[in-house]
Amino acid sequence: MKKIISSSLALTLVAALITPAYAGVDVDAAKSLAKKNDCFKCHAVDKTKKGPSYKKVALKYKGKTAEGEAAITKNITTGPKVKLEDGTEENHKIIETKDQAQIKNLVDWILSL
Amino acid sequence: MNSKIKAVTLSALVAVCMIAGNVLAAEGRDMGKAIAKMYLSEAGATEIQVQPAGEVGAEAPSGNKDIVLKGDAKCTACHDEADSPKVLSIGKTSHGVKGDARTPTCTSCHGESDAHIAYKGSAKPPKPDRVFGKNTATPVAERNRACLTCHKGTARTHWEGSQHQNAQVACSDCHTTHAPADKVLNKKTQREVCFACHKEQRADEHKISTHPIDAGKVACSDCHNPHGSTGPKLLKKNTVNETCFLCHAEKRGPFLWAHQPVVEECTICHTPHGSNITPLLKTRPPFMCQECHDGSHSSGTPVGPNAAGIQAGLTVAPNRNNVGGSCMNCHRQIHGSNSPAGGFLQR
Repeated sequence: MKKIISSSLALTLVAALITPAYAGVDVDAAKSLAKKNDCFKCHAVDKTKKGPSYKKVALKYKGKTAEGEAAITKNITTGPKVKLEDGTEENHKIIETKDQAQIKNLVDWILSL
Repeated sequence: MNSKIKAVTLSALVAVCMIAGNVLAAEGRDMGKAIAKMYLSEAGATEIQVQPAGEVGAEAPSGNKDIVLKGDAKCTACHDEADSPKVLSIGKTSHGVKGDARTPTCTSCHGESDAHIAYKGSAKPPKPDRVFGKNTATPVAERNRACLTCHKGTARTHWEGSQHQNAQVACSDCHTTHAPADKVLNKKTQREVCFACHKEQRADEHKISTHPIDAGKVACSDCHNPHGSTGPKLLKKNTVNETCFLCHAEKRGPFLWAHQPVVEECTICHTPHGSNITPLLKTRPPFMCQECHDGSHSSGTPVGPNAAGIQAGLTVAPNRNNVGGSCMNCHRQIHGSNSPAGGFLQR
């Protein structure tokens, strides 16, 4: 009995570790929020525009989810100066919503790409 | 034993849930991959020349190359298939024919828009010089100037001073420039655009006697020129009759025996958009006829051929049995007769 319980716990632990934090991302909502806030004017999913592609961003923060979340959230909520792909700098667009759940969903979607 | 089974079942369930979570996450990633494709297919823009997607980690800046029109790079650097694929579908319209030297570019219509392009702030950038949307601040005249710069003359010769111009109608109120199919240019869908404002005509179209507008056989522009006209009601021709005779040529004459209102104006008897009295009549016979012919059948007073009202000079006495009957039961050639004996428009 002890063996069974301990093996179940181990299995649960392993499964939890390999499940990404963004498993429950609402892609449509994230895409809609990004569209509404003109994010796609500077970013694309897999094409470099004025800003890096979202896939490039996801790749940059692969395995560093917390760091990625913090960096993206900072960019879209505070509008710091960011370096564009052509080397120039400009202020990042600030997202219009204050809904933290929506913002997190968008950030998770970007990191999930 | 029971507790063993429960424990095994529980662990199996947990494992299944975790695996499902992973599958969903993978699906989420796949959906992300498909987003660019979705954007293109939504606008039917798959045929438009677009920048190929770069490999992750080996991306190079697009270099701001033109995507659809010559010189569009300054706009499509932001407004590309990722942002607004519907904008790019202009490549499927006559405004996207690159081989034609007259084909404009984005700035030909929207203006150079330097402030819009150069903006680097965190808020929304200022609008382009000319915006054509529904709630735009660009004045109608300014918007129309962008179109009339090229689209002048021919059917638009009389735009200045026309009813639509005086009513502050913009070209973009009826036309969609970026869409591959402009509703107002299609005979079957044009009515939807016109009826958005002309609601009385939309109601008329549902009466029992109409032109086959609903069936898509006749469009508003078959009779009207919305861009200006020398005739009344923005008609294509100078008069109502000239316009009607474009189709109803058999009623044009000249006739040996003419019916005067036919010569004067069709709308004396008919209403063009719809009526509950067929065929498109304004009033039901015999009352309509009696508005001019004041009762020769009921009075028995003889009248001469081609004469309205009580006239001197008789041929035959009108039969009183026909009082109240529909005049066109006997006077079948009501628009005019070429028969030598057709003075009463009966043959």
